[in-house]
Amino acid sequence: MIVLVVEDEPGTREALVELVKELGYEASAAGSVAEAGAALTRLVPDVCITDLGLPDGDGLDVVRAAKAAGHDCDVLVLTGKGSILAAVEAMKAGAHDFLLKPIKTAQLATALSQLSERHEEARGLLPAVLPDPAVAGGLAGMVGRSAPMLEVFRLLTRVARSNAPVMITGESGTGKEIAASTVHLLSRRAARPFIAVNCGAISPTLVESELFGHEKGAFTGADRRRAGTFEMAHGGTLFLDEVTEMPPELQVKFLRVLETRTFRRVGGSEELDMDIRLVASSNRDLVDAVRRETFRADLFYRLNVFPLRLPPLRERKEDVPLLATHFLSQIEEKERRGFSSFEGPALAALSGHDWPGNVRELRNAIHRAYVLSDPPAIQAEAAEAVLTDSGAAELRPVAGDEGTWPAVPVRVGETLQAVEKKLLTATLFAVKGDKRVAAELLGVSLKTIYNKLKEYQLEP
Amino acid sequence: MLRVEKMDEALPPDRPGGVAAALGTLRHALADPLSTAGLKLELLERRLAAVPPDGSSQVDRVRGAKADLAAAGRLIDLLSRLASIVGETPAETSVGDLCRAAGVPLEEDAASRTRLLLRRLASVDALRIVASFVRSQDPGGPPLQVRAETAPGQVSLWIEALGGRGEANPERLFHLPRGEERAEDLFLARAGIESDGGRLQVVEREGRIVALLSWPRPAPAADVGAPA
Repeated sequence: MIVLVVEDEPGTREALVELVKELGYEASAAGSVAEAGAALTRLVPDVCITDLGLPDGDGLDVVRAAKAAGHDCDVLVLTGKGSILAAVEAMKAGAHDFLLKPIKTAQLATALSQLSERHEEARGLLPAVLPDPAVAGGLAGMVGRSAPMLEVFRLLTRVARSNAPVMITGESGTGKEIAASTVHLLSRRAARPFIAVNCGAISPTLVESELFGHEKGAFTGADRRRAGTFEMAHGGTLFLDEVTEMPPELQVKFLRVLETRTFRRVGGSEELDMDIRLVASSNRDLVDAVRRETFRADLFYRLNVFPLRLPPLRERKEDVPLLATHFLSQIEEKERRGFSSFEGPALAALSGHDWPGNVRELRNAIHRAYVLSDPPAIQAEAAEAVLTDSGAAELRPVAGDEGTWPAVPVRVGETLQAVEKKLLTATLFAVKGDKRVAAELLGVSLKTIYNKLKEYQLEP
Repeated sequence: MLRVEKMDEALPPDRPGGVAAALGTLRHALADPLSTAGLKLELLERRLAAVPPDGSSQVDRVRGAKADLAAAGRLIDLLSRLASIVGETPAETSVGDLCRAAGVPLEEDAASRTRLLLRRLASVDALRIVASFVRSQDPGGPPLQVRAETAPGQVSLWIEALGGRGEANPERLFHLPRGEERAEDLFLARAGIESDGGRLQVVEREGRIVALLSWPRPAPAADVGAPA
């Protein structure tokens, strides 16, 4: 692998070149944007390590020059400013990753080793050509061929090969976790772990230990050392679902970890290197959360390097038949009752619905229709019954006036568990799946909502 | 914290000039020689390790020097965080408002509503850190006791853990940002409060930790047209 080092400080440049060679790569050096531009005309580097502050320009110019030269060159940016904004700008301009000065040699070695693996794979094999999502009807685990989804697939494919953090937004049920795992699957980290953490579902007192791990004796009950999700996801991708629910104290620590790429277990003194790709998601209005100061703006900028919005199902109704068929196949694969299709009117009924609970609601509806139908096709009556049963007609999302909210019918003798499940389902439906609002309405904690959803298997 | 209006808005430009920029530049200037030294030590360690047994006896010394450099690298990150504090524009707020934003329980009264001119975000972060520190002295104990008081020219906030056993000489943690992870946060909390002319004192009283934060009250504006 050929590495071009662009650094104006001669001592750092020479030491960097020497270390890159020591690590087993070929290395060339440039001391300015102009020298880097000249080098890019005669060299075809696989990786360019560039300082951000150069005497005749910005290191971002080197990023742009490398991209313009048309080489498949990954750019690692070195920044001494300790500024989130500089790092974010570099990644937005197309840098693969950034390293904060003072350079940590272990981090540099890891970054180069990963890029080397990627380039070796690319040389040994034909470039991986993904099937056209418009023809295949989706990308990895995501299904759709509507215009909004083709745009999502295009952006996902583009961002997956970089190391840039991705912020996925979208209503509840639009498939944010599947989108996150697709980013992982299409990245060079695909063979490493994909770890998902729901920031709203972890007890605030345990969230720090969950993320960073803890040492034996760090607190009451910590009877042995435990790895946190940062360690478990090492080399892979960490998905932070509902990131706006992260407690404020933890946001400060988390930001620091993102900047320094190091962390310590709770109660520990050893600094551990962090090598993870971050994907975060939220179904809340992030800008509003920042404005209300429940979410730090600096953390928002750091995570929002590559924003990706997933459209609600009502904005891509043409995907409903494709999704319905996909879910039917999945269910049939497990239950094997001999279903292979939908009756035309059944699909028409499903396609005419607004699906406020989005893809998740559609999948649950298909499952219920599967139970109500006789093989080989899902019948129109079953689809109609499912749409009526779901309470869709009555339980349209309404404005926050409690008096106008629909009642949930309860029979004498019905189990408390059944009533609870019914009330939880109806409340979530009425508030468009916003679990925090549902928790407030029902007078329980957000964590309780997550626990109940798990208990009643209302979410995957 | 930075403010954002739209999710896709351009990132705000760095504030030109001033102490914040100087701190950023200083961090940058320190990072280069520290990088060079770190890289050279790494090369030296690799070469010494390759010539045992003569080299291996020196490797530990090189590793020790690398650890010292890593500690220095961590400390210079504080400059960026100090720059954020200094770069924030003071705005009118109150102790009650700060406590609400920091999640510190404070009953509303006249003292809590007194208007102050502070770096609000730095103050909220500082308050959160101080409260968390006091809380850590009495984990599982009763809620913190928090009260605001006004005195001529200043507003004070007392944060006290009712139980537990306080650290000996706790204030030293707020003055020397090394030795343990939280000391850096405590150091920054002090800087945040003092940047507005405030003061942070942490004392041990009857075996309990008490934090006293105080800020100067802005002088009342002179009456327009008042007789001389």
